Amino acid sequence: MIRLSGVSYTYPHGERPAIKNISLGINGNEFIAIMGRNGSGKSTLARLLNGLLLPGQGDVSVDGLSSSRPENLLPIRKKVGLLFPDPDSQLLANLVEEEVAFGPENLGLEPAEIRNRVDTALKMVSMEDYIKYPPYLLSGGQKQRICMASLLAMQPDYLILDEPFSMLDPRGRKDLLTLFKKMREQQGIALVLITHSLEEAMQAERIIIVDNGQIHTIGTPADIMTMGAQLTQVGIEPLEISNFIGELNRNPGVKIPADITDIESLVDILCPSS
Amino acid sequence: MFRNISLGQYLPADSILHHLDPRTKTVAGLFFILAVFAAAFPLELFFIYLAGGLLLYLSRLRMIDFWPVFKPFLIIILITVIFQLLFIPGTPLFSFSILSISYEAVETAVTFTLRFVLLLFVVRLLTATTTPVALMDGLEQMLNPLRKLGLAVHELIMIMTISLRFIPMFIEEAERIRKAQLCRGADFRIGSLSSRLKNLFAWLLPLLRSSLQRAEDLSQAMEARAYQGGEGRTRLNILRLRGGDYAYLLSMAALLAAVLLV
Amino acid sequence: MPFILKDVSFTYQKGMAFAQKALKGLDFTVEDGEMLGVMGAAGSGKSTFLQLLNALLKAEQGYVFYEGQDLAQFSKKQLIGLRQEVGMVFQYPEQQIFADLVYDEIAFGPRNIGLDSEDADRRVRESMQQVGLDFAEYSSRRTIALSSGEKRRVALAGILALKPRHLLLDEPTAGLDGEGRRVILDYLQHINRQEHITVIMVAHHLGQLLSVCRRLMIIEKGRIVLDTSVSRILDHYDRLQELGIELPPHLEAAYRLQRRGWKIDTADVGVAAIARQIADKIRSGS
Repeated sequence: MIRLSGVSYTYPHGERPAIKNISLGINGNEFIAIMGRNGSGKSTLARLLNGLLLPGQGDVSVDGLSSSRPENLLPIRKKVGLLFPDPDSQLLANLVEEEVAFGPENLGLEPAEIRNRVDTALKMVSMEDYIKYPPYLLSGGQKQRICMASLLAMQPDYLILDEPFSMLDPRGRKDLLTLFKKMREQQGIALVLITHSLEEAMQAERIIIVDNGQIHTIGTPADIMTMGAQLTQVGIEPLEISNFIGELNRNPGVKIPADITDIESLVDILCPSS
Repeated sequence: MFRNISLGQYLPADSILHHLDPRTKTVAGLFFILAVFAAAFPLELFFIYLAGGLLLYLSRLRMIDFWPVFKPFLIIILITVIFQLLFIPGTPLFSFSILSISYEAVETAVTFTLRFVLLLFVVRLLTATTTPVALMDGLEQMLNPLRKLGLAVHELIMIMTISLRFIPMFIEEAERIRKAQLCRGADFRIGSLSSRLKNLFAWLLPLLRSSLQRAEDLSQAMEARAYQGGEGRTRLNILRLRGGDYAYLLSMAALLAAVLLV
Repeated sequence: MPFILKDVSFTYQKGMAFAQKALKGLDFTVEDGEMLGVMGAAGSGKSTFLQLLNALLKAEQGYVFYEGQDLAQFSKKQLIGLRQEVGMVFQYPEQQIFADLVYDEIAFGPRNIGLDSEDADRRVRESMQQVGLDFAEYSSRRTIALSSGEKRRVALAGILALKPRHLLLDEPTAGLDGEGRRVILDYLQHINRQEHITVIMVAHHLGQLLSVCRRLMIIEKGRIVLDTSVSRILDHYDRLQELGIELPPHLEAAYRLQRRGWKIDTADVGVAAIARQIADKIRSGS
């Protein structure tokens, strides 16, 4: 479990704290989504979870290991993988296999074990055919898969995904999201997905809305999607289908339940097939 | 304008040369270069060319793969050759009014061209058959003894490896920003000096900022993957010299010795 | 007709080991004042396509005509003029901001084309208004202190200050939160409808394109696979399915309701228009 208790963080030269007094628990094998407008503190939160940033106040601990103790940082980073938004700024090797091997090499594993992990991780993300390929010639989605494999090769217990889809097209997003869910089911890895898109966040078990460095709301996807105008206030665009239902209900005499998520049920309500 | 630099792209293939140890290839390459410079015109150079042809065969590369590397140097070769032909004195081979070309000049020019081409060939052969990472690994291994003298070999090599990785991206970024500013009427290649300087600034500042941002992002990404410097770090591919390496190294040494001694 | 493309092809990294064909045999025309959305998967050649239109890249095969003239024949001087008339906003344009103050950033273009300070000043004011940045509030603000949505509007104003007649945009909403996206799209629509500037924008998100554009083009693997007026989008329902592209929910619902025998006019693809018709049906039907 990752536990944050009373965590605040201010960047050096920052005028206001980026994170203010956040307390939160993330269970092993949980899938949570963190949402909020640009600059709300989401990415700062992500970097606090794996000890890349250390809290100014409060404490972050991963499975009981506090990030305040320097000797815990290595085990924490082994447990908590962090996937960044832009694959281009995290790929550092000239060959796919070197890229994936980088983490295990840092853990000081035996060459045979590294080889084993590289092969397994690339298979998990279906990129085993690209082992000798230069990463920078791959497509955005493929690059992000390689980054993902690099984290999986370290056999993490938690994956923090910081807007991993922002450079991808809709198909790339869908594929990658499917992959994340598969990792969770097969490897029991907990997922923390940071995203702007409520559509993507709906896949999680809990959604946390961060605003102004603080937790604004924690709820299930069903709770969050029916927040209506409140969502817009925290910079989150409602689901397209919610917008549509809202627009329908604006017409006098129409009352469609706000919690419908799939089109077929909506169409059935509008026009019950006889 | 920036895309034409391609001295180093690795060309994957399943050849004998591709599979040799990078250290072997680096040292053998040095032997070969020395031999190129020591070889006399014409017979010895001819044999070196034969050896080069053999290497080309062993590498499974095509002549055309070398062309992009030769192309930018053609003009340099051409200018040098013209100067040599015009200004090296000696036994006149033929003369045309005040122009006189000597036998020695022709020999020098031909030798120079043959050597230069061979030099480019060897360098390209090394970069085409060896990944930059392997090259750096080899270098790190060979320089390792210098660590005892307090030289930060690992860190140095890491910096070089990452630079290699980021050069193509940097070039792309530079080009993108230049194009974007071009769309706002800014071209640092035309106009008055002060406007050129201003436009250069409008190009360099975003480039610098994005590079710093990338460096910052990358260092975070490395740290997030448990990087803590060279200490306690292992490698996926351990370099090991095999029979082929010794054979290759020996034949190159023999080639050099032959050129020097005969 | 500002742009005519005839059988245009383009290859990336030509002559290199990993050469890729980005665009193949493009044939189409863009009318004055159109608002055209171009959609396609990453790597389908969308960005290349934009750069061909203002000669940042040259077609390898085929012709790109601007106002009847072949772009390949343009002189350097003509190109400078062309790039003023055909403004281009790159992806993440805020990354190219270099001036400290908003005013100087936006005035950069007008000054480059030799306008005096009075004219440049007028351009800055006008273009800030076009993107909804209040001159008094923003012109002396520092660029680094702005939010990402505001930065993007500053960058957009920097292009509009050159008074382009046509505007090309590469993923203008990428990386913005919901609010930032909405604002940019609204201003683009305004610029097109009120100021009659041609807008050609490339984006991933079909819903966003449909909400503001009048024509939609889909590029897949370097080829145009769909080119339609937005009002006829549902005629191509099966094609979109084949391409694996999802319609926004209100259109998907409209299509399914049509299949169940409802008459819904989808000439206006706006959410409100569709919702109103459905509401009318519900009231009259039951």
